[in-house]
Amino acid sequence: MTEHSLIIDENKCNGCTICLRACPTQALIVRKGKAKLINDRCIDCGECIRACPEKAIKSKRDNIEIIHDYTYKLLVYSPVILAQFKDFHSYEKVLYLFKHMGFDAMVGVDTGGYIAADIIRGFLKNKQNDQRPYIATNCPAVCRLIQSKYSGLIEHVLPMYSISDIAGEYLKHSFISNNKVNPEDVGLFYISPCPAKLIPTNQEKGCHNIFDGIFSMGDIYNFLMNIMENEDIQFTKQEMITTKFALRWSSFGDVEHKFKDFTTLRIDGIRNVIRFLDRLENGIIEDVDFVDMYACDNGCVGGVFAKEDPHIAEYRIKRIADTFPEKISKKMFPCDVDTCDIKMKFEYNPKIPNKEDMKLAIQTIAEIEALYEKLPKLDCAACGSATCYNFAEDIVLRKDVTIDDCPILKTSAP
Amino acid sequence: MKEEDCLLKFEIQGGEFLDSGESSVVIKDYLKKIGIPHPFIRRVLIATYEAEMNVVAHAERGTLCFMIAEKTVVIRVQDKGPGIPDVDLAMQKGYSTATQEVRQMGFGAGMGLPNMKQNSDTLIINTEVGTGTEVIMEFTL
Repeated sequence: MTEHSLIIDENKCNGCTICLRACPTQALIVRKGKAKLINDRCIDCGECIRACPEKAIKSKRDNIEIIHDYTYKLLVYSPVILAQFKDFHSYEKVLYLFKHMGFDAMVGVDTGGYIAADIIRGFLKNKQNDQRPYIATNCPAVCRLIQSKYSGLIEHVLPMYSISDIAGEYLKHSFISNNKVNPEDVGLFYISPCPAKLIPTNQEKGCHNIFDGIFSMGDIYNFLMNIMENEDIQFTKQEMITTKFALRWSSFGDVEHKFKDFTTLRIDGIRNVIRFLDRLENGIIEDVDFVDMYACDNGCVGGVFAKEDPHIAEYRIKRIADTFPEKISKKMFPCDVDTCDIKMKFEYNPKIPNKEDMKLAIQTIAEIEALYEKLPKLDCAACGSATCYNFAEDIVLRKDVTIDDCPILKTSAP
Repeated sequence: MKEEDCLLKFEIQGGEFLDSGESSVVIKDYLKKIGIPHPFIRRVLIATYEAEMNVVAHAERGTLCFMIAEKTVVIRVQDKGPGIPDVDLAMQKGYSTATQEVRQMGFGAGMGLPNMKQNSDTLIINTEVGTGTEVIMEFTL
């Protein structure tokens, strides 16, 4: 079964159905006054966490203490964390605090962006790669959405790891070879801006899980604020190697800059993503080479675990990015690790239904639609299903409700 | 092939470019729901879209009927329109009667009928000049 990062606290849930209406994939139902997750529909985008007024939905994450299980501790951080502090000009302090926490080496996700950009450019230049537009794998919620709902778009997914994974592989590989240490003593950790990145993307294939622990950016924010408030720290200067483009891309998805000679789009916000994927699957998107999509508004700066307003965070990242060059020497990030290759393959196994299956499916749809016609079509969710159509589906397929559970029909019955 | 066998039926309005293409999308979603693999759906989607656009571009109005039987999907489009005077000529790639204006909008590339033929397993065209056209496409699963 697919693993998800979301946990619903039944003690706090009051069954209000607000999460049902916030969920873009109708992955929640309310039964007996409590919200429940439908596992095979959830894409871990975290919209329900944002929406829940009772704060009853939380995300699984690792405890920071687990880093001490390893002799060498490596960290990949989302650069979004640098923009969470008022004094963002001294972002190097944050890097120093990571050292203070016990990390031996660290890179931002921007490092992965720097490495990936040239590889993607090479891939797009190859005229034989004609499943355009290619869709970046940076947002796991988008990847899961495509895997679960858009069977027709699997071939459009760039067969490549996300830039956070590439950053992780690069860091681990270079640390091990530079310091001649035993790989088993090395723990690789990630600070994630969102619940989607807390769990592996392609679970069936068992890949993508390169991190030994993933922390919520919110937890780390708390942790760092506590250190700064309560400890007297002598900061020493930290070096950060990056480029303007890599920082901007890895924080708010500003992808066009490095891909100007291709038709490249950044699409942010889960509902915009869904609209675009629908249009793409309907065959009416033409002449686009590359699309980078993010479930959160403004990309990762809008992540569920971010404290700061996404627009302010974006502004701060831009100002930090201004202090970095357009280009750096390639030798800074020699990329010879496996993940820096175009190799990941998204899988989807379409099965041709046999005659009986198809007949049954047609009958089932007819049954659902006939029921739907009887419903008030208000999509009020008061029955505990997200929409009237979902309710009709639940009557026929889940069989955990009956048409008598519609409160509107009940009150309007003669 | 009877009228009541239509699983889904659509009305198509001639000249209505903005709202066009809806029937192919609804049919695509339906085929997805009953578990048909995408390469097959794509063929149906492309051919149906072209057939629909032909009505929008050339005819006054039309109807589109979607049927599914055993291992075959059938799309039938009937329109009230000018008819096709020379079907063989219309089947040629790049041949189009579309005006320069329509072409500038990205339509009328003369690929409609060739795309329908390429993506369907059988294509039947019954047409009468001055009355209308009936197109029947079959796709074998």
